[in-house]
Amino acid sequence: MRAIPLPALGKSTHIDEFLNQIKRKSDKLVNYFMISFFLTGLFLAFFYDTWTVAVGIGGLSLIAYYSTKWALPNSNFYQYILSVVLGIFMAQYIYQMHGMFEMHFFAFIGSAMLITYQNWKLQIPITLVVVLHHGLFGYLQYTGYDNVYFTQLDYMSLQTFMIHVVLAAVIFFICALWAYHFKKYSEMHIEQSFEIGRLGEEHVQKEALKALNESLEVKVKERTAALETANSSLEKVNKDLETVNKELEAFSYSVSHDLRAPLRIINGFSNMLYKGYSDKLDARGQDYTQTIIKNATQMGDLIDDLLNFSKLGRVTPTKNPVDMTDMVKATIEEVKSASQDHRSEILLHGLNAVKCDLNLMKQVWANLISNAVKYSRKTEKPFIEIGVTETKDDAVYYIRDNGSGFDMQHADKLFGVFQRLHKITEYEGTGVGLALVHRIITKHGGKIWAEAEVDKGATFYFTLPN
Amino acid sequence: MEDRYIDILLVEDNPYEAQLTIAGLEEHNLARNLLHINDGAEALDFIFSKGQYSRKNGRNEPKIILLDLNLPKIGGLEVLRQIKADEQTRSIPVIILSSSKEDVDVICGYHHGVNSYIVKPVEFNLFNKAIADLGMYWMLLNQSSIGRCG
Repeated sequence: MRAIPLPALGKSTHIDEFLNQIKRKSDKLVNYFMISFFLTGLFLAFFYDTWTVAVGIGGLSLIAYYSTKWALPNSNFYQYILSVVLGIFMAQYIYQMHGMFEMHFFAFIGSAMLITYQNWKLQIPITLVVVLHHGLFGYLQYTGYDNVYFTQLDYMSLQTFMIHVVLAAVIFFICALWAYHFKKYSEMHIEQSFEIGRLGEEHVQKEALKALNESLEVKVKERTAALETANSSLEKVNKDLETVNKELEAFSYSVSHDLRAPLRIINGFSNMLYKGYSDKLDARGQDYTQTIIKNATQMGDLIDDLLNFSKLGRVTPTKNPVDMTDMVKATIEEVKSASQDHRSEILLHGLNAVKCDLNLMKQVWANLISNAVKYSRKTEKPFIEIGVTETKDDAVYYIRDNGSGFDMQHADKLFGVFQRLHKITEYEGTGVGLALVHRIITKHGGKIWAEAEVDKGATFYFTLPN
Repeated sequence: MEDRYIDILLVEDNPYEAQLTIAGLEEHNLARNLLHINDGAEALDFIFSKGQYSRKNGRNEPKIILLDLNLPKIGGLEVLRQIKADEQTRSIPVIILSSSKEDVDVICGYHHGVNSYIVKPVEFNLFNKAIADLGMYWMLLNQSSIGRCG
């Protein structure tokens, strides 16, 4: 049974999709913050005339942030740049306000802002910037450098420094913690809703499966019933066929027996009339009697061939190793002695031994050889050649004559029953011989075909599997 | 002719077929002591010397029986079976002369112990030759059995 596929979207895909939503929303907010920070810088420039710093540092910060975001849109690296930039803004404002203590709070604004991305690691760059800035600028101011503007205090007591550090650490830590928790909870939330969704889907699937099973059962029952009907009608057809077969056998039996008897009588009495009363018959009467004899004989041959052909339909060849050369030699002698006016030269190349039905194969050769003799007897020097070529799978036998041949246009009719390519007055025959040959070769798993040209001769080929 | 001098018993229901066969034998002077019977029951009467063929002493002993298969009343195969089942008659050569080439007839014929099964050719010369050959062989060449074995 075919399984119903589960939804293609996995749990992690759902979480990714959710985080992406948050990211897009936060990015939008950050845009406003960036503008505000830049404008704040410009505003603070009024106090101590720090325009260069406001435009320069602020502008560079904006460029750094947006160019990273533009260059790496699929990475969250720009968020780390943002973290750095927020630290730098704090440093910028402290400088612009000549060390005004309150400006330090911008670090906390930045830190709080970063929570929105729900990534605690974003707190690290800003922390580093703040630490570096404080360390470097504090050191520079207290070692006596001018215009550092780090603090308005003349001195830095350990107590003040410690409070400063602890407060900053706590703020950054809390912001990182919140970011971490937010992410964890949203993940949990998504997992839960996903699980609920999955259970729902499972339920739906189970229901669908159940329905499918039920409909399948109905279908199976329907099909079984249909099959049973078909089977019983097949049985009936089989029985009918058996009956027909038996009738056919009975028919061919009666043809064999009942048709041959009167024919023999016609033939016999015509002969006796011809022989015993020839002195009382004039030439025409004798001619008529001859015609009766000839036609009755021909009809007898026809019935014999037909019976042979129909008999063959019921026969399966019994295959034994046969010395083909010996068999063909013997068949050639038989054909020669049977035909009164044979003068063909027959060249027989060595043939290979093959597994086949001796009696059936003998019929094949008898037909092919007598055909070759028959159709080449009007040739000046009748010449017949028999041989074999072997391919990988088959032995290809051929028999070639230089007789009257036939038009290849009619090659497809060659092996049909009662198909004759020549007039009966030209060449005698029943038109069953090649059909018989075809049937025997086919039953042996071989193929048969012919190539010919009018008045140049014909070559018959047949294959037998090795 | 007295029944005991009969050499050939021809059992054939078709009078024309019989006429042809007799003509073929006559040509070779083999039909002088021939009796033609046209049904199976009468043939059995003759062979077993009963009914119209019953005799006071001895029994009819034809040298050969030429038997057709399609016979009225009792079929040829049954006639054959009875001849070959009887100790007294089984040594008489029986030759089936049939139009049928069907394997089943040939097989059954030999199963019941026929001495020869000949399919009559349609062609007159072949037919004549077949009849002459079988007459010569069974009447002149073949040594028939006398008495009992053992």
